[in-house]
Amino acid sequence: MKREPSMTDGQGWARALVLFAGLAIGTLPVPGSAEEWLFLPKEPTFQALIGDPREPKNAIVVQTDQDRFEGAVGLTYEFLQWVPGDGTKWGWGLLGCSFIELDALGGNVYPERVSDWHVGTYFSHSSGDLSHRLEYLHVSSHLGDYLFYTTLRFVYTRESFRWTTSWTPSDRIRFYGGMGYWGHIDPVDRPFYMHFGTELYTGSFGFLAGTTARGYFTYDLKVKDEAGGAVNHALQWGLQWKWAKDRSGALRLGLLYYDGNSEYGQFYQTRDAHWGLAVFLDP
Amino acid sequence: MGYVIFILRLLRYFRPPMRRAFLAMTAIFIIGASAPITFAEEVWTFLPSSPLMRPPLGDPREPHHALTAYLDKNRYEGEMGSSLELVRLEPGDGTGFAWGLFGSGHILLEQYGASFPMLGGDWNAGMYLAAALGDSTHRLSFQHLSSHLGDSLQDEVLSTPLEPLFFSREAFTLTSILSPLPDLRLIGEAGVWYNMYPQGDPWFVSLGLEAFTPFTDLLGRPLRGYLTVHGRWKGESGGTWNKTFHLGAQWKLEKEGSRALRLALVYQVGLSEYGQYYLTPDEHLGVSLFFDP
Repeated sequence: MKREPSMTDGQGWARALVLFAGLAIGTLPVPGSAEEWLFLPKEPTFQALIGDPREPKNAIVVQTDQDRFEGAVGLTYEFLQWVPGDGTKWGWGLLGCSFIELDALGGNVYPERVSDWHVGTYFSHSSGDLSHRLEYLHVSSHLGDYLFYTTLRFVYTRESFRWTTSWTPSDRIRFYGGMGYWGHIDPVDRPFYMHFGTELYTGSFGFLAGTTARGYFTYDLKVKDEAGGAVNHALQWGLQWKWAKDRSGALRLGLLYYDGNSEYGQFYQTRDAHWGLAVFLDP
Repeated sequence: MGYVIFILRLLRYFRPPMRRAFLAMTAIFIIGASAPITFAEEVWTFLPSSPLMRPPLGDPREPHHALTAYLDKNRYEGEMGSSLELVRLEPGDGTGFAWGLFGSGHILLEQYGASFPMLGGDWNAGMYLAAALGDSTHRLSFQHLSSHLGDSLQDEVLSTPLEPLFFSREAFTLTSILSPLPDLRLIGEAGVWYNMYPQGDPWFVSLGLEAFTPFTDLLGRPLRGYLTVHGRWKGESGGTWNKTFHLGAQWKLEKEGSRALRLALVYQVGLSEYGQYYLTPDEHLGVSLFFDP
């Protein structure tokens, strides 16, 4: 039986490092420019993909047609940012997020169906309209205890490398795409996936009490080789509300539509289509 | 004052017991917060980058982002937790008032070789009102907590009498922090559980302190040592104390800001903080890495 490649083979690491080294050599800083090292910068080099259901986030989602709720608590934490002074930026940080899905049984009872945990590290780079992120991510998924008597859990644990390139030609449009490879995948399955998406924004307008807001639309597409081939679509229409246009902190209210296989590992072979209303708290 | 009493009576009449207490505190808060407007120079901030009350560092159930490796057991913990302040009012007289949300997820894992089965997971979500008054800050929070047995125990559940507990509850908690010295914080907390499953004495009280060394410099950024002592008395477990100690280093972006990396030795003794094991003794020594936003 053919052995699946694993992280311990070192091949994944080697490929990732070669890839990143290539990027680094291609954008070496201009000699003599004023470089800057930033420790724990507040904004990451690679801006969060707000339309990706598995990007670290703080959110509460009501699945309006399923009597289900979701919660997410997450963080992208950049440790170090290098600004060589030539208009580029380099970042290294950590990302993590926990996701929970609850059923609503009535009578204020919301038992847990499943929870997923993500933790990883990334390197990122930005230059003008382009930015890139290379992640190494561990994911595990756990069946909710209320389903213990009806559903058999399985060990769902995996690690991946994912590359994402983002192009932001204006502050109203963003496109991104990339691919990933699960170096270790349990249950064993096909390890490749691709990822594309877009974010579209309206112009900012004055909102309550001197604050600012803008409308947004996102479309996120994941094409996965696993589970016999899965195509996951996630769409959002919403309002992003900020204290000031140039501040990163935002409150977002969104209408969601999801169609594909479940993003929760314990149900990754199960079809999931739902509408939702969500509140996102972007730090 | 008469108006406040009138509002309290109205709330008492129309609301169930715990909600009306929370609303009464909210009413007092709003009335109190609106008074200084006449001083002008007031500043409203929407989504400030850090909360008005700097969270207690040593409380194991305060929302933090952290990874913990037990040194004396094959166990690990992960925690994702955020506090997001929605709006803050600084009336210009040195006080501050804020309203925000918080949430956290906690996971407890065992290690068997290269596998890390889940033993339990807890989830918190809630909102708070906070006030800063001179050297003291105060926070009134409403919190929902649920706890879930780890799925690695499903086989035991199906083959033995072990059953997941239905562990779900809400609490009102008043937390006060006094900073008599720049490098010392004293913490007091009292709370009561509501809608509490499993049922028990709903009261809990916490006491704690945080002490910091002077700052030094590490690679151009401020670094200091810290010690925390935190004790939580729980009525539900017959009046036991859960004690937590941190001894660590805090490496910050800037002295006054909240953004920091913390590395600490953590010692906990008492009953487990995980709801599914809330009556099970837990003593461990661990090393934790915290990512304070």
